[in-house]
Amino acid sequence: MKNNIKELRKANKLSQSELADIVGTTRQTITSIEVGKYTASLVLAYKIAHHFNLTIEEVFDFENLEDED
Amino acid sequence: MDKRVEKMRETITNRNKALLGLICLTNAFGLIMRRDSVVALAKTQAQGDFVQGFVIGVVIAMDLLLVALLVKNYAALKDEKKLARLYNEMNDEREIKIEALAGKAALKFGTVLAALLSIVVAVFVSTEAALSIIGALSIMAVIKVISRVYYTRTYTGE
Repeated sequence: MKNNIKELRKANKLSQSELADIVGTTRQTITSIEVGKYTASLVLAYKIAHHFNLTIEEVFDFENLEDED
Repeated sequence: MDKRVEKMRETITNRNKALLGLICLTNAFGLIMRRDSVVALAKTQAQGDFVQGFVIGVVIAMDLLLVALLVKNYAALKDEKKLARLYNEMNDEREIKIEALAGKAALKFGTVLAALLSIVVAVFVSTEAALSIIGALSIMAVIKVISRVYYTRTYTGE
């Protein structure tokens, strides 16, 4: 699933490890989410979006969701 | 204090107790194996010496590994950042899913392999041995059904 976590992270001067520590996951998971290899759970997606003061839809792109199934 | 740190501190403290227990058990086993009366149980002196040496080697290797783990755990207990990171690693959703998938694949592969093995054993070794493999497979199937019923009733996704 496409998302703009990398851009948001860079705009907030956060490393992958720092974001992982904040949302309670590992750096590897953040990397996988950023490159679209892993789809975050609803809870993790909420935590990430909440950290950047955005909604889940503003961080994750749900438009091509049906193509991924 | 962060809840994650507190939980992890508790987990690591319990783990250290288990590690200490394991070290005691391993060394006790090593000491028992050093007794001459145990060596005398072997068919030949050479066989007894070999088994004794092998067991002592395994005990030393296990001691080194367990002590290294203990040292790592004690160091982590002093560092809250490390504890929080360890908690995240242990509860990482992607890691948990990968672990579950790996376990599922291993179980499927292992079951098929054991079933094939039971046929080979029945033909070339003994029917009793093959029956025990089939018995073990049946127990696994029953445990799976019980687990499925249990998790269907209790699983909340959290």
